[in-house]
Amino acid sequence: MALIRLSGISRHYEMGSQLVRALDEVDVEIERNEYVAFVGSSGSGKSTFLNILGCLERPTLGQYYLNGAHVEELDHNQLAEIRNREIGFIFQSFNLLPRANALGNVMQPLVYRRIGYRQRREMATEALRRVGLEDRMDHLPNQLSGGQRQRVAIARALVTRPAILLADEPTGNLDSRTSTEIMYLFDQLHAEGQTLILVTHEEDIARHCGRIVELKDGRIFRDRQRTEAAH
Amino acid sequence: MFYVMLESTRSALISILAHGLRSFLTTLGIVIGVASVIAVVSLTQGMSAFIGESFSSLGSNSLTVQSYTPIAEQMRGVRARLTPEDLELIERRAEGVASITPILYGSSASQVRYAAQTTFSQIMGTTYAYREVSQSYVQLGRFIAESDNLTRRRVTVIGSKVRDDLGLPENPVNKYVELGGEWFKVIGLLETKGDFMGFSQDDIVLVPYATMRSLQGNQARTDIQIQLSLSENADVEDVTRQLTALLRNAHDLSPDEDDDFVINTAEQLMNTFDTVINMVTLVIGGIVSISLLVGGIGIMNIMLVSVTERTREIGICKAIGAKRHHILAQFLIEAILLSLLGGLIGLALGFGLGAAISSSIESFPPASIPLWAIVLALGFSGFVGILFGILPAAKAANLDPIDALRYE
Repeated sequence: MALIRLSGISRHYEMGSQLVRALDEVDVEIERNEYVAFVGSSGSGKSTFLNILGCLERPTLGQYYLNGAHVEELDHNQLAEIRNREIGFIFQSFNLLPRANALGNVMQPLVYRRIGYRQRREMATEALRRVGLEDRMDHLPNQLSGGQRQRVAIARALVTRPAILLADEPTGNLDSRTSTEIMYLFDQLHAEGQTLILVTHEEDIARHCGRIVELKDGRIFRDRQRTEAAH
Repeated sequence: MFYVMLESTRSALISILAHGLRSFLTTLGIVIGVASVIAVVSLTQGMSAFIGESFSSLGSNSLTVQSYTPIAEQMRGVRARLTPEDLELIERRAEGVASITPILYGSSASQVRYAAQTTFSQIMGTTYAYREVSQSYVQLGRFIAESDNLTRRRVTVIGSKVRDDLGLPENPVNKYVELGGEWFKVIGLLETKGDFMGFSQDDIVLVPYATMRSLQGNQARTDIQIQLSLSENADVEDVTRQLTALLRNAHDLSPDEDDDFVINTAEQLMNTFDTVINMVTLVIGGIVSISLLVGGIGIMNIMLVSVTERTREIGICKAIGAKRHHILAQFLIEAILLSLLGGLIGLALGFGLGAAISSSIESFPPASIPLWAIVLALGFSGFVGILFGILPAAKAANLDPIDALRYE
C-alpha cells in the first residue's frame, strides 16, 4: 500500500463572491522512499497542495490517507500529533524560532512529545551533526547564514524521524552555491531511505528528484518518472 | 501535565527575560498594587499585635465596673454612682473573684509638686489589690499596703514619668511630694510600662484609697470604679452576670430600667480595637486592590500585543506539532509568572515601605506581615495572571496554523 494516497482532493476559497479552486480533484499516490518534486507556476496550487500534505490545511473535499491514518477524519489534536510524528516541514523562509538557538530550535518538536531534556539534547545534537552544524549549536538564527539556517530547519524536520519530509521552495531564499549544498543534503537523505516531497518552480532543483509532478490551475498536468538521474 | 508546565515555564521565563524592561513595566501595576496592600496590612497588623500585647499587660482576665449615666439622664442632673457599699457587697457575695480593688479618681488632673517643679497627673486612690488586678508592680520601694489604707497614711506610689517630670532622683523613695496641697511620702516607684496609643502609662500617682476619700471630703457624692481580677477557673460571663444581678438589686432597678453601670473586660476593649482595625484594613485593602485589577488589565493588554507579535512563532510551533494546550499553557504561564513576579517584588517593596513608615513615625508600633497576607497577595496576583492571561492565551491557542504562518 502506498505511503500517501490522495483521492479527489479539492481546496476551494471564497474570494469575495468568487469561488477560487486552488486544487481541483487531485489524485496522487506516493510510495515510501520516493523523491518527488511538485512544480508549477505561481497560482498553480502547489503550495496549497503541500500545506494539505503537511496537515496544516484541510481539503474542502477528498480523502487523504497518510501512513495508515485517514487524515480527513482527525481532530485538531490528532492533526498536531501527525505533524509532529509523521511530517518534517521545511519552509522557504526557514521559520526558525528567533529567540532560541540552533539546538533549542531542533529540540522544540521533541518538547511536544514529552521527551526529557537530556534525551532531547542528544537527539537534537545528532540531527545537527547530520546536517554539519555541530559547531554552531549555540548560535541564534540571526547569527547564522541563510544556508546554515536552512540546515537548522532541516535538522529540526529530521529530528523526529518523520515518515515524510516536505520542503516548500527550500532553496528559494538561497544563493546558487548554498542551494547546491542543500540539494546535495536532500539527495543523501533520499539515498538513506527518506521519503522526500518538495515544491519548487526551479527546474535545476526539480531535476534532483526521481519523479516530477506538474500542477496547472489546481490540476495535475503531467506526472512523469525520470528514468535516469542527470548527474 | 507536569511536563507541559515545566516546559512552558522554561519558555515563559526565556520570553520574560528577553523583554526585560517591557516585562517590568507590564508588571508594575501588580507591583504597586501588592506593595500598597502589604504596606497597609503590615502597618495595621503591627498596630493590632501591639494593642494585643498592651492589653495583656493590663491584666487579661480583669474586669472593670464603672457607673454609667446616659446623656439624657445627665441633662436632668441625675448621676449614677458606684459606692463603697457596692464594693463591699461584691466582696462579700460574688464568687470567682481573686482580688478586688476600688479606684477613686481625683476630680481632674491634679497638681503635683516637688521642690520647684510642678506637673499635672492623674491621682488615683486604691488599695494593695490594685497591684494584682492591673499587673502594676514596683521596681523600687514597696506598694501600698493594707495598713496604709486603714490608717489613711499619706504615702504615694508614682510612675516613672512623674518622677522624671518632677526632677526627682533616680530613686525617689522617701522623698516628699505635694499632692493637692498635702504632703505625701513616696514609698514606691512603679515599673515602666511605656506608651499605649500615644498615652504614657507611667504618668500615674497612686495613694491609699481611704486617704483619697478623706481628702475628697464630700462623701455623699463618692463615685468609685471597681477593678477586679478573676480567680483561675472563673468564667468571665458568669462573673459578669453575678455582678450585674448584685448591682441591679443594690441600686433598686426595676426590670424595665437599664443598667446604671457598665462592666468592661480587657478582652472586650481589645476586641473593639481589633474590630476597628480590621475594618480599616478591609476598607483600605479594598481600595488598593482596585490597583491590582488595573495591573491585571495592563498584563492582559501586553499579553495580547505579545500574542499578535508572536503569531508567526505560534504558527511555527503548531507546524512542528504543538497542540492547543501547549500554546495555551505557554502564554497562560507567562502571564501568571509575570503577575507573580510583580507580586513578589511588590511584597518586598510593601514590607520595606511599611517598615520605613512605622520606624519614621515615633511611637508607631513596628510593622508586621502576617502569613495570610503573603499568601493572599501572591495568591491574588497569581489569580490576576490567570484571569487576565486566559483570554490572550486562548486567542493564541485557537490560531489557525496556516494563517499564523502566513502572518507578516
